[in-house]
Amino acid sequence: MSRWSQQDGSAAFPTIVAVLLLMFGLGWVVYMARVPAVAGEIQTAAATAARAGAQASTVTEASRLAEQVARGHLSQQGIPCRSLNVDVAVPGGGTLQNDQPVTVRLDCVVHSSDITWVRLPTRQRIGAEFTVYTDRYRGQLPGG
Amino acid sequence: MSTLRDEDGYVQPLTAWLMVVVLALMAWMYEGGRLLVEARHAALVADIGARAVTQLIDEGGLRVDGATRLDESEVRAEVARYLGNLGYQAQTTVDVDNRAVTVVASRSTSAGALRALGVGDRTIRGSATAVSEQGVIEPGDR
Repeated sequence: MSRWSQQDGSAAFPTIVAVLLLMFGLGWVVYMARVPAVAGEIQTAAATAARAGAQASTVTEASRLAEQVARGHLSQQGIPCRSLNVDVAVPGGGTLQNDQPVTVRLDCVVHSSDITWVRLPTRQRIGAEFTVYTDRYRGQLPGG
Repeated sequence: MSTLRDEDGYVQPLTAWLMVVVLALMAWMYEGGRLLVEARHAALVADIGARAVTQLIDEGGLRVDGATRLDESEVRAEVARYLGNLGYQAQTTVDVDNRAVTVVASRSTSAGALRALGVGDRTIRGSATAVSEQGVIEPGDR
């Protein structure tokens, strides 16, 4: 038996493996291209929520407003969070003061199949944080 | 020389080469995506920086004759302070004729995994313009 005939069909297996690996890799590329778009929307939702929260007069109201706005924005944009955690942080707490930072942190868990046609066995937690300062003049005139 | 002999061992180098290409593509996609998200963050920061300028409008003057008065140096200082608190540098342009304030927020960020491909640190920029208007403004009025 010649050397060539012994190796008949030996290229088929690595070729199949190569094609599968390539398809898997391309699937990841598609997935990773989609993730930033979703992350950008979550970032915008965090900014919108922080802006809404900074209009409130108490931390409790800021938390309620921020969560409402964040969920509304993500829903409008069709971002399918399997779970969404909205955390509002205000130094000092209690009542919001002038020129005080309101930080909103969003954590959204998405499955790959929710954001792409690629069904990878993965889910990802995408977080975003944004800080907005309350107005310098709240219920008073400048210098008042 | 036969065709079979020419193609001996062809698949494995091809596979290795393709995997390197796919890995480089994945790194490029990941870091490129991260930079896009950072650019959006910068644009959002510029937006709130521009909106913050409304706090500096001379309300008394606005009520008296409807004119929007801003102290340009105060605007620059306020925007720089606001964006500085958020980790950004500010470049502010006050356009008196159009009653507009344009804010460019920028900061430097690492290229991450792309450094392996020779890409250096990047400066992320985002810009926004706030315009003073009175009354009800319809889309396309400006």
